[in-house]
Amino acid sequence: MAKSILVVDDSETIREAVSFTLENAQYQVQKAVDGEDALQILEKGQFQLVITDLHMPRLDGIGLIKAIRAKPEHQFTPILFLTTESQASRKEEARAAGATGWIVKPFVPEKLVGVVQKLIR
Amino acid sequence: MIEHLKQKYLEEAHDLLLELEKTLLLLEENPADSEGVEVAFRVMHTLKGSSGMFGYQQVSELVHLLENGYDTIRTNKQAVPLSLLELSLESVDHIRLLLTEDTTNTPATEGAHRLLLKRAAELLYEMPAPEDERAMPAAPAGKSLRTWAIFFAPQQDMLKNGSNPLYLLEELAGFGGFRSFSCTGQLPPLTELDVQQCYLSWMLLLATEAPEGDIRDVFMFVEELCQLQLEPLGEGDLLADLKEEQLTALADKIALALDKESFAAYVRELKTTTAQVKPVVSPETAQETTAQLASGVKEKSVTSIRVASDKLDDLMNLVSELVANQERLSLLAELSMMPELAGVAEEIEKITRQLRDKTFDICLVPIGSLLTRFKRLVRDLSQELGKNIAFEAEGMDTELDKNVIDSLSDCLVHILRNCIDHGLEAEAERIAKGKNPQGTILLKAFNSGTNVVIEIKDDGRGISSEKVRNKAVEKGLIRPDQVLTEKESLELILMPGFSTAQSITSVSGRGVGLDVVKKKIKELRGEVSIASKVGQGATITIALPLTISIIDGLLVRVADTDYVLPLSFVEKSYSVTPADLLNTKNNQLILDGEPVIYFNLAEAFSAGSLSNNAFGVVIHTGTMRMALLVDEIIGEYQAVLKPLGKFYQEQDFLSGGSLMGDGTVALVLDPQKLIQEITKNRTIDI
Amino acid sequence: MSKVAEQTINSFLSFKLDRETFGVNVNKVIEILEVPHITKIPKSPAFMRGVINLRGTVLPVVDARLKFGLKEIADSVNTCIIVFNIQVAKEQVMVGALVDAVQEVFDMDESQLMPPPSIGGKFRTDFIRGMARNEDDFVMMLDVDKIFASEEIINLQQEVEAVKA
Repeated sequence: MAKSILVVDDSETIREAVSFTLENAQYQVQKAVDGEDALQILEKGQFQLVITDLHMPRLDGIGLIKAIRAKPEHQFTPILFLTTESQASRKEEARAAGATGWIVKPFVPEKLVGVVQKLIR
Repeated sequence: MIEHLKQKYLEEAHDLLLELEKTLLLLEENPADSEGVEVAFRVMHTLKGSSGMFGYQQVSELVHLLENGYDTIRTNKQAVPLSLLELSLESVDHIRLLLTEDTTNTPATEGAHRLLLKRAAELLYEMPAPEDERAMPAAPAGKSLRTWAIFFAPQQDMLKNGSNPLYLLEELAGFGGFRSFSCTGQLPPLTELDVQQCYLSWMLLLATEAPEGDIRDVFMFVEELCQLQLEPLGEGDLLADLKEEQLTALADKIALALDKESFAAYVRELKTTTAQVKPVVSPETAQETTAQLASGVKEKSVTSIRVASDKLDDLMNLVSELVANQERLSLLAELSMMPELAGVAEEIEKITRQLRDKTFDICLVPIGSLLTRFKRLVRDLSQELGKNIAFEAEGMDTELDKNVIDSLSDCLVHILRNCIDHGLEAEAERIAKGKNPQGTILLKAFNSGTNVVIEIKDDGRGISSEKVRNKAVEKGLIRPDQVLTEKESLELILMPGFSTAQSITSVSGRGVGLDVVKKKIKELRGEVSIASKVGQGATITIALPLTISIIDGLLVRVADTDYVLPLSFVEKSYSVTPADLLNTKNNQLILDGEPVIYFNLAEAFSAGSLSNNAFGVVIHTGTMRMALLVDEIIGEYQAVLKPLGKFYQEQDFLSGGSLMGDGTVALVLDPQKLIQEITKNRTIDI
Repeated sequence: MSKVAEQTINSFLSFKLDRETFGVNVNKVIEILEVPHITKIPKSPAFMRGVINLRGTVLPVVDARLKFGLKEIADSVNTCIIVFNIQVAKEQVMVGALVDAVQEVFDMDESQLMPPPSIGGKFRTDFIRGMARNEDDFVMMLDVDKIFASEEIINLQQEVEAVKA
C-alpha cells in the first residue's frame, strides 16, 4: 500500500509542487491550506508523514506541529517542515515543537524525495 | 515537469503582490504595526520560496533581501523605516514587471533590478542585524575514498520526533562499504522495556567517497537528539584490511559498552591495526541559538479556492438555462392538473432560486477589491506631483459583477488621475485660496435601486462650464450659438477630442481623455455624469446597472417577439382597443380619466400593426410616465439577463436578451433608454 | 517529395448562396445548426437577422444573402446557420451566418488559390481571399474575420442610417 503524506502550505504553488513531486514518487498525497485545515484532515485519515510550511495564516506551522504531537496516535509520525531560512532559530523552534526534520525551499525534486525516504519506507 | 504549475504560480504571485502592496500601504500609515510587519514578512517568505522554485531567481533574490529586513524589524519589534517601505513598494512594481517579462529581461529591467538590489543591500546594512545566520561547516573538498568511524548514540526519546535510527543506518549503508556494531548494554530487562524508547547505540565503519558534510547530512534531523562523532580512520577502504576475527572481537566489546571514551579507544585500536594514521578534521558541533519565541501570526482569513473565471461564466450560463427551463416546468405543471407534478415543480423552483442566488453571489466582487490599486495610485501620483492629498473611500463592500469590476477599474484609475493632476491644487495654491492645505478625494459606492452608483468627489478647483464650453466651440465640437444647460456644458468634457488640460503632463498623457471612460461605461450600459462648483471641486458619478442579474419583469409580446419590461418601472396595464386610439389627441390616451402619452411599440419596432386586443402598459421613469402599446401581455416573468453582444451595441434601449424555456430569446427593454430613444426621434406635442 | 514543405493543405467548408459557392476555413467553423426561431432585434439593419439561443448564450445571426447584397428569399429546408468563431478587435466572438445550403468539406492547398477577379465581381473583393477550383465548381474563398468584423457591421449600419435619412 502506498504511504500517505499530508502536505500543508498556504501557498498553492508550493503545495502543488510538493504534491506533484511526491505523487510522482508513488506516494499518496492529501493537501491542506493551513494548520487548522490540516488538523481536520488528520482526523479523517491515516498518514505516515506530514510536511508543513511554517508561516501560515490561522494556525501556523509551529502550532500545527505541537498540535499533532499532542495526539497519541501521532507521537511518532514524522513531521517535516518547509523553510527557506537558514536561520537556526526557526529550526530550533520547530524542532522543539516536535518536528522531525526540514526541507529547504526551493528544493530539487530528487532531494525532496530523498528526505522523505529518510523518514518513511 | 513543474512547468504546468507555473501558471498557478504566476496567479498566486500576483495575489501575493497585491496583498503585500495593501499591507505596505497600511504600514505606511502605521509603521509600528507589528501585525502588518508579520503579514509582510509571511507574504514575502511565501513569494520567495515559490519564485525560486519556478526559476524566477531575480524575484527570489530581491524578496530575500527585503524579507531579511522585515525579519529584523519583527525580531527587534521596531517600526518599519519609511525608506524600506518605499523600496518595498518599488520592488512590488519591479517584481510585477519581472513576472510579465518572464525569463528574458530587457537591459532596462536588468539595470533597475541591480539598482534595487544595491539599495536593498545598503538599507539592510544600516539596520541592526538579526541573530547571525549559522554558517554551515564547510565540507572538505576532494572526492577520495576514505574510511570513517562513526559514533552514533541516540537519546532515549529520539523516536518521539518521528525519526527512525534504523533508516539512518540504512541510508549510510548506501554510501559505500559499511559495517555496524550495536551496543545493547543499555537495554533494560524485558519487563521494564518501553517500546517508545531507544536504548541502542552504534559504532559504524564506513568506507565512502562522500564528503564529511554528506555523512553529517544523514543525521541532520537528529543532530541535537543524539551524540554523534565522526573520526577519519584513514584514506582508502580500510574495511577490506580488517580481519574478520578482529571485527568479531570488536563487535563483542561494543555490544557491552559504547560511549565517547570507549569509542575513542576503539578508534585508536583500529588505527593501529590498519597502520595508517592521518587524522584530519575534528568534529565541531558547538552551535548555540537563542530560541526565539514564536510570535503567533494570527489573521482572520476565510478558506477559499481559486476558480478560473470562465468556469464561473459557464456556471452562470447553465444556471440561467436552468431557470428558464424551470419556469417552463412550473407552467406545464400548473396546466397538467397533477398535484404530484406540481409539488415536484414547486420544490425544483425553490432549489433553482437558491442555486441562482448563490451563483450570482459567487460572481459578485466587492468594489473594495480595487482599493489597494487606487490607494497606491493616489499615493504615488501625489508624491510625484508634490501635492498633499487624502484619499477616502466609502461603501467599499458594495458588490458588482466580476466582469464589470474589471472594466470599471481602468475607468476609475483614469478619473482619479484626472482629479489628482488637474482637479486638485498644489498645497501652496490651496493655502492661498484659504482652503484646507490637504486636498481630499472621496471614492464612494452605494446601491440605488437597480443601479450601483460610484462617485469620485474632489475638493479641488472644480470645472468651469464656461471654459469647457468655449473650448468645445474652439475645437468645433459644438456651434457657438448652441444652447446648453450648465450640466450639458460640463459633460462636453466626456466627448472625444476634448481635453481641458492646460499643459500635457506625464500623468494624464496626451490624447486620452475622459471620452474613453464614457465609452467604456456605456459598454457596461452605465451612465457618467459630472457636477462641479468652481473653486469647490467636482464630482463624477458613474451609475451602473447590476448587469448580470435577474430582472423581475412583465413579459409582453409585440408581433412574434417577446419583450420583458422590468416590473420596477411598470405601473399598471390597461386593455386598449382600436376605438380607444381612434380619437386620441396629441399622442395621449385617457386611462383612468388621466391623459397619458402613449407609444406604439409595434409601429416603432416596424413589426406591423397593433392587434385589435392590444394593451397599454403604463411605465414611469423618474421623469416620464407613458403607456407602451403591446399586442399581448403574457404575465410576470423572471428574466436572466444575457448580453446581446458586440453586434447589437447600438440598440441600447435593450438591456439584453433572456432565454425562454422553449429555447427562444426574449428581449429585455431598458425603459429609460427606450424613452430617450423615442423622445429623440420624434417631437411629442404636449 | 521535397516540394511538400511548400504546401499548406487546409480543410474548407463550402456553402451556397444564390447560385454561387463559397468556401470558409473549417478552423473558423464551430458548428452547423438548423434554423431555430430567430428573435428579431428592432431598429437593426436588415442583414442582422436577430438572435438565437445557442446553449445558453445569445448568438447574433447575420443573413449572408443580405450581407452580400443578394435578394432576400424565404428560408427553405436547406437553409441553415453556420456558427463561426471570429476575431473582432482581438476578441473571440461567435456569430451565426444564415446560408442557403451547406455543401461539403474539401481539402485544398493554399497555394492553389487564384486571385479574385478584380473587375466585374458582384462581391466586395476585400471579403474574398481568392478563388479556387473544386472539381468543376469555382469556389470563392472568404475571409470570415473581415466579413463579420464589427467595425464593418457598424459602418454598414451607418450606411443604412444614411440611406434612411
